[in-house]
Amino acid sequence: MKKYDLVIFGSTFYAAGICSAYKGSTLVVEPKTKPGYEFIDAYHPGSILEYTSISKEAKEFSDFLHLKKLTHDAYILRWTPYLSEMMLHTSADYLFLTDILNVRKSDEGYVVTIFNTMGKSEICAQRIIDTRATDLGSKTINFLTKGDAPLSENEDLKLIMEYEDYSIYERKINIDDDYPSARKKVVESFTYLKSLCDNISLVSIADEFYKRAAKAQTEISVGYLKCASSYYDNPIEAYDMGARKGEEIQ
Amino acid sequence: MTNLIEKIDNHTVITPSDSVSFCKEYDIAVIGLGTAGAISAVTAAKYSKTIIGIERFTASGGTMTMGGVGGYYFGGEGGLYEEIDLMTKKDPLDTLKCNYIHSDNRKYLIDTFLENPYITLMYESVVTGIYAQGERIVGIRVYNSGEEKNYAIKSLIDATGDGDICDMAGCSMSFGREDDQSVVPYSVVKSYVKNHCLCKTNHDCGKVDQRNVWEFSDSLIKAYSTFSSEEDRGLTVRLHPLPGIREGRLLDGYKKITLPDILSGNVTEEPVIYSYSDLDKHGIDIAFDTELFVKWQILANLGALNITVPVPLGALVAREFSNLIVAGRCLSVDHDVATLVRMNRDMQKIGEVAATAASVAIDDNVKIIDVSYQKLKTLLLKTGCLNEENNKGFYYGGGNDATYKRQAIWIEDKDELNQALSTLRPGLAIWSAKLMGEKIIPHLCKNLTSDNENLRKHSAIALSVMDRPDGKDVLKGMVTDRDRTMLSDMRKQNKRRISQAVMALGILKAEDSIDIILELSCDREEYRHYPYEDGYNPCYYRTLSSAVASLLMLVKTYPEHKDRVFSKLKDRLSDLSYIKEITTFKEHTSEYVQAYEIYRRVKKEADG
Repeated sequence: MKKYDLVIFGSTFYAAGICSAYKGSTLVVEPKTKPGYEFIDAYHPGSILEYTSISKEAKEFSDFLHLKKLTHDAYILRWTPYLSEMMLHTSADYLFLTDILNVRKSDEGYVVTIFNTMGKSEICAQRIIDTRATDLGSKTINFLTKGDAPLSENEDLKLIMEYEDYSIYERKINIDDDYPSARKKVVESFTYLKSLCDNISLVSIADEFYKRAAKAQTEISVGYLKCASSYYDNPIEAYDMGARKGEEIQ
Repeated sequence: MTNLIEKIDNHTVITPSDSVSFCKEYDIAVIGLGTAGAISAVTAAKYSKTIIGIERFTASGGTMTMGGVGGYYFGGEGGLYEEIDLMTKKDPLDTLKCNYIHSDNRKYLIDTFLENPYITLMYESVVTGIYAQGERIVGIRVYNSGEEKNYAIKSLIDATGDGDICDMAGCSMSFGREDDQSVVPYSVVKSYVKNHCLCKTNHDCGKVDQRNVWEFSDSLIKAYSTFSSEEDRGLTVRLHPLPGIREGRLLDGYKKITLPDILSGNVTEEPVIYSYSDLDKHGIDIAFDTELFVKWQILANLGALNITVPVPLGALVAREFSNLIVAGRCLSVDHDVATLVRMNRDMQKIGEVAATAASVAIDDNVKIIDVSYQKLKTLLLKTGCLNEENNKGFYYGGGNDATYKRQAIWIEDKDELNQALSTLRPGLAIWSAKLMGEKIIPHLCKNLTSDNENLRKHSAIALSVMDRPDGKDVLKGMVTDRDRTMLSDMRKQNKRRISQAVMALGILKAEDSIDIILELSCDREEYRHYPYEDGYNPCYYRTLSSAVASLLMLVKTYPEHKDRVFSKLKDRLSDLSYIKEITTFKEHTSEYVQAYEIYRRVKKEADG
């Protein structure tokens, strides 16, 4: 059984922040294939420009993005390669396409049962931080358009980003909506926008829901925390908070 | 007796499970709602079967939605998928102009087709176990939203692409090239907007063994990072989350389709589809492939020839279970044929076939392999999934270049053969000579003294394809003279005669050619004679990889030369400076990885 000082659930910005600061052996377990999906693939930039990083690690990440001229909200869609580069500079191990089936207490901390194409296996962790959004405050599906950006009078539909003639709209959905029904709601919303202004085209619909977590941190048991990345407004803030958590638990 | 079959620590584990209870029953479970699986679910619903569809990602449609691949390269037309294609083209979402099929249009339409009272969908879900009674699968264990639940089923379609379910169930499977388990490189697709148009770009990310999740995860992060050095292409829309895996596990089903059978015309008379493609060239290290593949791709330079593969039902059906069928690229083919039977159109048709066969098996209460071919054929002909017009045999594709497009008809006449061998498009003649067999050998031998350079050299190559050493001296002359003449059988990626000659000498086990091939391999100036194409020198790659592959063949036959050859090759390759002669691309790119492969193979063989 592989042993780690820290096992992180979710390859989120918060997780990347922890990995940038924490020096113990770390494994990040992620059911999906990409890092930072909770903001990037959800098309949720938040207010990146307005956020000032506190931790050294988040400042470095911000500076890196400034250097690449990628700090406008719209450029979050281009961040996956840069976040990946940052991850390559840490000593953490990553396991994508891996589900977390079960966690149980053990003498040394916790035993995590994971599942992937190699089957079920167990990982020993002294400490666990779950950065996924499990306790949800709200859920939206966002979409990118090009052309004019009409303002919606519908409360469930908000314009959240404008850049040149690109816009991101956020469509509020029910917590129990699945992906096909959410995509249907996007189509309804886009039809509505089109009725307000014909000069608008749908560029794409986010692959992931934006799931706003209800709480920043919950302690499940000693050494097992839930720290949802998407509790924070924007990816830099989540990365910053993660880095600070990494330092805290060092 | 009911058993739970799981994979634990990468091994199949069987546990008696008679007390299992199922929360619901379905006729068919479709595991993986990708390119093939989505069509399987739609098809099974048309046959009034209840379906549970399990998908790991957040949308169905696979490569053409989550993978971002929006166009068709090969494959045959016909079948239920065309209905979705037609509606996608109508742009129901009024999307931005797009130079390929818009993945959101496709997602939306597949959602619409799957919204059916017969179909239950579970996204972000995986199958963690299978319940079986003897040779029948009777249920699945599904992990969804934080819990595992059991569902009873009558039939199972493994549409995971990589045969994850067959593998979990302990079915016999293979992976990659026989000698090194290497597969064709995978890629990641990026969408971006430029000039008011949604475009895409493809990064080949090298070879990976995706069965090893540790290795695959590491490779993915490195692959994503390669996009950071890309020039600004406009506003990025997404890196598509489904990696474009081209080859994975392959089932050892009731019928195995092999390249020797395809090239010798030994094919099924009971096809369920005709697949159609060229032999894939993403894996550029073809010099290390099987001898037959090398003869076809390098010696005959026939990589551009598209090949029709009639696929029998038996290539989809697992031998170990009576109600388990695959839909997708993991069907029962060998490594070489895997690249011929993986295109989107064909995979969608395979999805239709799998669901049709599973539905008929349930109705007729028979094993899937025992489904009446006549009955299946009638149903597949009706939708166009099986269409005799797709049986194109061998055909030169040539993209948009009409001068290359033509049916490949093997030559049977000696004069015609000589005429073709005298040109720079000798491929068809070289393979025709092989098909003509013994009777053509004296004729080819006579050509070896011809004043016509092309005829003389191409006859020597044709003889080597037939394992005849008669043209050995001509071939050796091509190496010492550094005959870098580029052939033109194909629209692109044509071989140069020097790489053909070194490969031929290796195949002929020509001991007296070791020194000249070694000299070529170790010549640090040779690469200057080939053009770079945007930081990559494919022609020199082919020459060097062919020379090294040839030497590896030769020292296997003549081990007394081993120390000398490996010592010189290590001197030449071990500091990896040769990679710069091939590519200036970064470490994690497909080009770099495959260039590195030359040294890795030498080191592996040298170290035993």
